[in-house]
Amino acid sequence: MTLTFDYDGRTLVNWTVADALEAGVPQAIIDAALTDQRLAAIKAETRRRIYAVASSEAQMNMAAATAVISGKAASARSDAEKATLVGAEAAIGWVAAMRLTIATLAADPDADFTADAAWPDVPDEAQDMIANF
Amino acid sequence: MTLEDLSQATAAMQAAADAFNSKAGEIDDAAQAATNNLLGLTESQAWYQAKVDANDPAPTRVSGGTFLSIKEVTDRAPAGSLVRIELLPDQTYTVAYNINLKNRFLRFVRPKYLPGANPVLIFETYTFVQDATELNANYGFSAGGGGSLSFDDISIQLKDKANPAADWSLWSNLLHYQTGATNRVRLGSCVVTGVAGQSITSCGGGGVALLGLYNTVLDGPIYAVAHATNGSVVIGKNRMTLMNGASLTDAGTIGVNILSN
Repeated sequence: MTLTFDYDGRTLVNWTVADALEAGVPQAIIDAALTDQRLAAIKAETRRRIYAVASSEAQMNMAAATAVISGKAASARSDAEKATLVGAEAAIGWVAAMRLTIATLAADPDADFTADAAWPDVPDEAQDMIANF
Repeated sequence: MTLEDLSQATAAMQAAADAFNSKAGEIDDAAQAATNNLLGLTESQAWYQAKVDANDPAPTRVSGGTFLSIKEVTDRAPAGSLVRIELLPDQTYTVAYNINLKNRFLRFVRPKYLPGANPVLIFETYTFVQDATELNANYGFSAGGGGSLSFDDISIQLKDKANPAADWSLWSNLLHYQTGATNRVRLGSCVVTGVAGQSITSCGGGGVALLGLYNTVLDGPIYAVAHATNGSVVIGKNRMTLMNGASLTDAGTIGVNILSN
């Protein structure tokens, strides 16, 4: 594993920890770089998982549909439209939970952020709704 | 014609035939020797070695020997050959001419067993006029016909503009672009310094830049590859340092026209 970080006015690109230590980079700087790199990797994993559930196109279509449905009076919404809003709310809640998980995983250097068990499940209502888009 | 004339003519022809036959033997021997040494002949054309020492009082100017300048080496090394060029510690070398690689693989090295500071390799500048506009350029190499550059333990300096009032051309680097050409550069334990607008190489007209960078420092507001959006870039890098404004590329998108670790 290599690290890219700024130190002493320079950008060190793709350095191993051993090379950085040998070159006199303080351990605290290396630790901060390791933390930053792990955080970036966790954020990338979060994004990958969200887009695996709902593509960019699906997300745009869902947003457009919920906007139209929300513009209607509650009494005028069909059952399908009501289900769409319930699913959208569940999906938004799931994305928020995913984002909260970033902080949890970043705080634990031993946590395996690539494991499915590390992430919240997609609610059934959200999955059903996303399948329509 | 008398019988005596005929006799003399016959004797002369016989002498000529004898002379030819004796030479034919020598020619056969030479051809046989060349055939027996075919591998040696091939290697002498494919593998060229040179030490560049401007202070050598008696340069040999043959492979395995000493040359006074890099130009002397590149003028003599065969096209298509691997050329190992030793630059000596504490010496400064200047490239003040453009060199076509001619599918040669030039490997500049500083012999590690010799003490002293890494050799300095300066790429000089000049100006030329294009469409009535004066432009600056660094002297350097071009690889339209193939070939590559490799540097180990060399301090490379890209000299500033020859005319500060004029802009840089796309040749503000040590390996110039040629439309559609592939530029390959490897740097190991080198320092490259330059000013804004300069680079190691560039992409022009659909060119491809392939760079391997190990334990190398880019110092100054320069790029590893300039004009990256005009072509495609692959950069492998490890233990690399960017300082004083240096960047890997001037533009482009990772995963689109740039591939880098």
